[in-house]
Amino acid sequence: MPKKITNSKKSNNNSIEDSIKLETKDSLKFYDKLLDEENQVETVDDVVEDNTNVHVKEKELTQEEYVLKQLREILFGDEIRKTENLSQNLNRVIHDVGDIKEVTLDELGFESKLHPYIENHTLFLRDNFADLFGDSIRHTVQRQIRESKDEFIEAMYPIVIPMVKRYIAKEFKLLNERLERTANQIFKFSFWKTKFRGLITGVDHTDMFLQELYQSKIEDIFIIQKETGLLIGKFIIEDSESDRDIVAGALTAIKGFVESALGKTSVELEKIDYGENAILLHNYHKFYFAVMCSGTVGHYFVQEINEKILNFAEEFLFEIPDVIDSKVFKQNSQQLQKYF
Amino acid sequence: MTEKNVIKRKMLVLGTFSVGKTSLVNRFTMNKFSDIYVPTIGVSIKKKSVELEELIVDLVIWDIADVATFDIIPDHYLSGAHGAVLVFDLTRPETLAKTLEGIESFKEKLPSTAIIIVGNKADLIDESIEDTINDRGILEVHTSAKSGENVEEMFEKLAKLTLEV
Repeated sequence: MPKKITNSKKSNNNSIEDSIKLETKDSLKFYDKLLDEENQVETVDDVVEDNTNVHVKEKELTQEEYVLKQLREILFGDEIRKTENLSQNLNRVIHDVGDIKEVTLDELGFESKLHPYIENHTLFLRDNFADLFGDSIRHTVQRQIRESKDEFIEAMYPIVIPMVKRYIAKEFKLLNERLERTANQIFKFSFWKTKFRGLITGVDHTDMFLQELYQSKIEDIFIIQKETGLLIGKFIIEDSESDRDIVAGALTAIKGFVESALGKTSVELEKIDYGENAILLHNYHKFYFAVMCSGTVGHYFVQEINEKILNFAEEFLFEIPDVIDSKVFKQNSQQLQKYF
Repeated sequence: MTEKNVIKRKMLVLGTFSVGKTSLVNRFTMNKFSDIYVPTIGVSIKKKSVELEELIVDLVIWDIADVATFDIIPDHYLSGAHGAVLVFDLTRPETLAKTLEGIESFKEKLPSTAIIIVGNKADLIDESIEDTINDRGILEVHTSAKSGENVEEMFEKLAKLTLEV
């Protein structure tokens, strides 16, 4: 706390001059103290605000302020003026920067100047997109599909297959309806004949009509040695470029793979469907028959083939030698040709 | 002049990856060679006839996909094979070690199958190419699917061997 200032008039023993000297001396001491404790100026203000001694203290402080002002002027005059100048300059700079910040692109006229160019270019790109980027996009997509064929198929499979299934189901329904109509109107006798046959055999009469319309046909018959996959006899109705020995080997590999992959070695593969063709497999102990068929391979047709092959095997193939030479091969092939 | 009798034989071509099995088969069956390596998936079947003095042997060749060991080859691929070509890479000695490791279990599975061990890629090594009989009694032949060297001869030898066993 600053030292309390006493009123010099209270001293009756001292002359006015002495009193003034004393007062001046005390005041200087006080201001020395004030200068030493600059931060404590607030404390003086606190004292001024004290309600009880407001008047007396204001009077004392006015004198003190005057002296203080002089002292400040002597000691810090230049520094205070420099600081004030700096402060004014700083305020001016802050004011100018604020003004610049508020200037928008539009005020400078950029947006209105650039906008037509951007719009024109956008329109040009839109109108000529195919010419400009068509090739690049096509190449990229082609490459992407080529490189990720498996992923593409994986992704497309769940979408395509239900569509194909729905399409096939719808087409079959339409075909069935057409068949029914045709049978009722045109083939009245054959319709009842087929229906009667269906009742006896337990095969749907529509299925029978389908078989008649899409005639099943035997293309090739192979006799294949189970263990080696070697062809031991063949009956070829329609010749093609494919090597039947390789086909026999590949069929045996596929058959073996399917049977072992399913883990049911006692169960043998009996039919392979592909498009409008099918391969019927008839298994025996040391060999199997593979009958390549085209057309609609229906139940009736399969039954017929089964019976024929069973009879053939019983009659001709009771003993097949282990070594397959041209004599054995020729003999088996001739028998097949005769029988079918 | 009487027609020669034709006998069919199932042949296997086995070996670890990239030793040149398919290249050997393609060189033999189609007289073709490609530098592009396309791994075989499952099995690839090809055929070629070898005409010997008294008969013709139709070789149906099962080129089996790369497998780490012979033990894991499905039985239905191996069953009934009359001959087998076990291929190793002459530039990779570890492939010979692998072939020799598996040979005993292979012989247990197919005791009556004729076997030839083939060191392929002979064009990439400087050694003189000679056929040798190793102490296992198995014929070892060095071939080059790229140049075609010894390929025909090797399959012919195997065809003859299958008639002996």
